[in-house]
Amino acid sequence: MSVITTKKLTKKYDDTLALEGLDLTVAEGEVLGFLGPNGAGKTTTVRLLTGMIAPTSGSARVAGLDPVADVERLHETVGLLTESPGFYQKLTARYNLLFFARFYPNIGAEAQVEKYLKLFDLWDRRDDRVGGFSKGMKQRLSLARALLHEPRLLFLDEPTAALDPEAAHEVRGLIKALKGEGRTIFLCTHNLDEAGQLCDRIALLHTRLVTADTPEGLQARLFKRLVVVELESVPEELPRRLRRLDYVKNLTAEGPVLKVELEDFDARRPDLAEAVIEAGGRILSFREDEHSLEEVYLKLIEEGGNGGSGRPAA
Amino acid sequence: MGAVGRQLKNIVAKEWKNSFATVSVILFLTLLPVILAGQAAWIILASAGEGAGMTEEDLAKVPPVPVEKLVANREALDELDPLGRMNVFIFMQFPLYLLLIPCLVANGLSTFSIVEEKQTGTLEPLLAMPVKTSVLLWGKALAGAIPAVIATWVSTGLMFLAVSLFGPGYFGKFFLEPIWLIFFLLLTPLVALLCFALGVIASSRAQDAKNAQALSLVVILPILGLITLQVLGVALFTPLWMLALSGGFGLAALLLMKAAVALFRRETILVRWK
Repeated sequence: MSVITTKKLTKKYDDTLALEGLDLTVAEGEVLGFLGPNGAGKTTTVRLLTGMIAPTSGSARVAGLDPVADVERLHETVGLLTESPGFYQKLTARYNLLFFARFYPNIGAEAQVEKYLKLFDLWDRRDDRVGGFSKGMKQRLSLARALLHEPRLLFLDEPTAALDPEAAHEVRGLIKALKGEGRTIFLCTHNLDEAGQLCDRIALLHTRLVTADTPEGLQARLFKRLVVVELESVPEELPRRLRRLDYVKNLTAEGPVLKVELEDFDARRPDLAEAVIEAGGRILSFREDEHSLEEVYLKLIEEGGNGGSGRPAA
Repeated sequence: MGAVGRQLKNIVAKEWKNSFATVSVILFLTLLPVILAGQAAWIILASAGEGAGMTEEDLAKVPPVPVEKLVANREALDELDPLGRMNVFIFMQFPLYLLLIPCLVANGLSTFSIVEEKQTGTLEPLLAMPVKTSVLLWGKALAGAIPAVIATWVSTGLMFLAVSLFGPGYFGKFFLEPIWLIFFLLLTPLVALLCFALGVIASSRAQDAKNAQALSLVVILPILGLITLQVLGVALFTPLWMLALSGGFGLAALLLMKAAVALFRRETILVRWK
């Protein structure tokens, strides 16, 4: 069952196109990584889906609600972690959370605040002013605020941006835990490692949706599957003998490394290993060629990113 | 208490807790009203004091003033000599001047509140809460207007105390005049609300608190204009005129609050406010 569906969702700021014709669905329990360069329309999309701004055209349903018509009900239902933590610096961590918690009907504000301050390891600092907190602590507090009303759908806008590696690691750990609880997460990021670690599916945005697929699916669609064979040395006859095999579609040799494209990739890999050994090759390693998410991202942006001129979301 | 009432209470409590954690806000809230009311007391006492040693001949030179138009307590008025009538006339002119207190305090608190939200980035998470922007803004308006009204009442009360203690005894008979009641109960809250709304509008356009306050100080111009008309003798603000002014300020306050709510829409704030 999908919890987010958009149809031709479009947003223009004056004459500038920020998002064009977004068609997207997100299934319940899914973690969707929303990737794209700065100004690609990620924050605009989050703001549209959370009812903070209205679309120029197109429509969306989020958790069964219309973000324009049912904005207050939507805010009772979803959690939003904004790009900037945004806390009252002179007030304590506990009071900040209590203030936000009291907007939600039918939650025990005090109990929820205590629960999340403890869960995010901030209970001992509950009576300290937020102004004295590190960026990592503020981000944890921000995540706590997004969870106070126990939303099943979370929008996280750049949750680890501007954090040092340790703090970013901590926050990623928290997001993994939320994923483990089966919550649906819409994660805006341009951290590719983060997306690879956390997301079931990745949507790439560059004013319009370039593509959406699993990380593996994206790799498979963009790059041919190749076997990389590293040899001690390459016997003179070996490449020619391998090329004669009917299941070898293509072969390139770079020094002691062969890259081989196969017909029926998974079934023929053992045959290839056998053939290399028979031809006198001494194998040091035998593996499938892998492409990083960064390579996938750059290739996709290069191929599909010329369609718009979105301005950075305000 | 309904949901809206609870949300308003939550917003007002936060606004006060946050504002009163700032020393400059507390100083502003206490010193400004005391200085303005102190000035008023000093002028009233000085003019009453100078007359203390006047001869019958001097008293005869005091020009007649239309004090009957301002005062309901005729019996107390009839007991006064020309100088006393002049002093009461001056005393009854001060409500307009003292309106600067709710105006400046409410305006200052609103610019502080909105600009701080902009600077600390709290507006976006706040706008993601399940609350109507009109409730949010009315909560802020109450949080700004209530201290402004209290500060005006307290400082004007102190002024009354000073003129009672150090001035001629008859001033006390004119404290509950309609002009002062309209000032306390109508004009002060309405001017506070009006100036709060103007502060929000100015803050939405300004980059920082200083600019916002400079821009929003334009709000005192109509009040200064009224004071000028009064000082020049062009207009005499009788109780009826004060009621009409209350109506005008009330209407302007509602219209400006509506404009402020329109400016406070989520999309406007996120996309247009810088």
